[in-house]
Amino acid sequence: MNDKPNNPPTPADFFNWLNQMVAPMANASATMNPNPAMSLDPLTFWKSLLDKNQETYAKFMQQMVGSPEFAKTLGQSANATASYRNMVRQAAKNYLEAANMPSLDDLSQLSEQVVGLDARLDDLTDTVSEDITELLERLVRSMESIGERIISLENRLQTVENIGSRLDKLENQLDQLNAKLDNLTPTNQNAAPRRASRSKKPTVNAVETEMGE
Amino acid sequence: MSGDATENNILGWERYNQMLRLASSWPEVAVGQSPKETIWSRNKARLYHYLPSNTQSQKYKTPILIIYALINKPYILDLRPGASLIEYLVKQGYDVYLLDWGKPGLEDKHLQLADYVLEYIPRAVKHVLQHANTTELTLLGYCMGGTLSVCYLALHNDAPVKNLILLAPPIDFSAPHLLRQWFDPKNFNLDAFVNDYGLIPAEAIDFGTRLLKPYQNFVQTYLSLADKLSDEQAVQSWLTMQKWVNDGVPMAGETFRQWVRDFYQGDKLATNELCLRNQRVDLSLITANLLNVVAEKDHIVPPCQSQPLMDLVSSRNKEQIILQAGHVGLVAGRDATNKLWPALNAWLASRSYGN
Repeated sequence: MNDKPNNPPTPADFFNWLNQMVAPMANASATMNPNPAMSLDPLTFWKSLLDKNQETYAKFMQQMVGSPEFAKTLGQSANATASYRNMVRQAAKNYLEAANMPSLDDLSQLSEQVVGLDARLDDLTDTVSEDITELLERLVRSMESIGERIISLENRLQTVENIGSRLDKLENQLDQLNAKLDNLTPTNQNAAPRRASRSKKPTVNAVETEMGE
Repeated sequence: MSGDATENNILGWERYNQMLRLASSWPEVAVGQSPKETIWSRNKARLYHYLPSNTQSQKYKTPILIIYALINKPYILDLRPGASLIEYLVKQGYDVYLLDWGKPGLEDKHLQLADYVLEYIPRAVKHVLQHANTTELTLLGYCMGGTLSVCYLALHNDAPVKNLILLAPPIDFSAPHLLRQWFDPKNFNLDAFVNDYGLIPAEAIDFGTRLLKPYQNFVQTYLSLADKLSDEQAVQSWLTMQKWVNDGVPMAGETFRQWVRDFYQGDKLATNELCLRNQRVDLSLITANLLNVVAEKDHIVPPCQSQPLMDLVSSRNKEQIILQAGHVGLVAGRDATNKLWPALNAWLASRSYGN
């Protein structure tokens, strides 16, 4: 507003600046169709004013934020209060230390340790659950292997049982053959009785003869 | 005074009174109402699993893990019943998970992008697969969450990610943009700013985002409320959106430093020069099925920042959808409900294993 930075702005400077802001709105209202029905409704009047000019305002503001000067100002203002913030922060820290109370940095450090502890617990949980999962998988594989072996043993046992039952059948048949042979040779009463087929294998010729009959 | 004039005046005063009542007692609105359970947490981050209702059945075995941005809260994806992407996906039969980064404190100011990409996301993926009892998942990243998802996939070749869905992801920062101008090292002392704050305030991030469209964000949004006062549903919709806009979260200083330096100033991601813990992020290593959704009217992440991804990845099955929507309208507007959500479902349904 004032070209001489060392002199404070005068009231005239202020009203000149205010007029520059209000002039577009005054021009817009002057071009509007005067409608007595709208004059008593401030919200509708204000809304119609804005509807007529919002495209202009939007474009103006977009150009403003897109200008290199604005970018420079924005960047400078982002760091402008840094020294003030540092001063306030240091003053607060000194006061809290004097009052033997924890500062923000102290609480932050404590929280960092808690966060680190939480991370370690999470890692430990993951490791343990992975180990448990691996153990369980190995256990399952072992159980499956044992199950397969049991099945194999059962099959072999079944085979042995089948062989046993066949042997029993053969034994019965041999006993029957022996009985028939005994019936066929009644004159040899003094001869030593034939032993059971279990201890003596029948001769092939006798069996063949018996089978032939 | 004519009868029409009287009626106009009465209506105008009524609206004025309504505005005053609304401004004096700003009603609290409910957001993020889809039922969920927390299945994992680390520091401030929470991994949520969204529960289907008793009448819904899970149709697809491949779960969806949503990676949200580090700015603002994720309930924009679950704004209110009927305007919730998460609710829609759950109703379609998907198993939906969300990684909520939480609100960082001063103790988190040292967190870097590498921590999010190499610590949090892999663990979240593992927990999702364990919980869903499956071997592959779909990764859905929105805005900066899309950037994080892309970095994760590029650094984990064997990641169990079958599908990658990105909603307005900022990838290529070479084109002129207001944020790039404001963050230019000639104008902005990044190190001094980060060293001074430590934790970048949510208000600073929100102010910068609003400044991209100053008239629309600082003036017009409130004027639009005056037009909608007679429509209760429109007022509720406005209130829920404003709640989310004003509900920002701070950002860890080191993350902000890296985000500005390596992305806005250096454009390192698109040129495969970005390094996270000495590991180079090479986007050409991404081979997952890709759906890239771009918002044509997005002034925060313009199409020129998202579209180049299609030429940088090695995915054989990739598709791009361009919607006539803004950055937020992409997920929570009328176009989202009518266009994006059905398109997303159609693309994903054929790429998710059925139950």
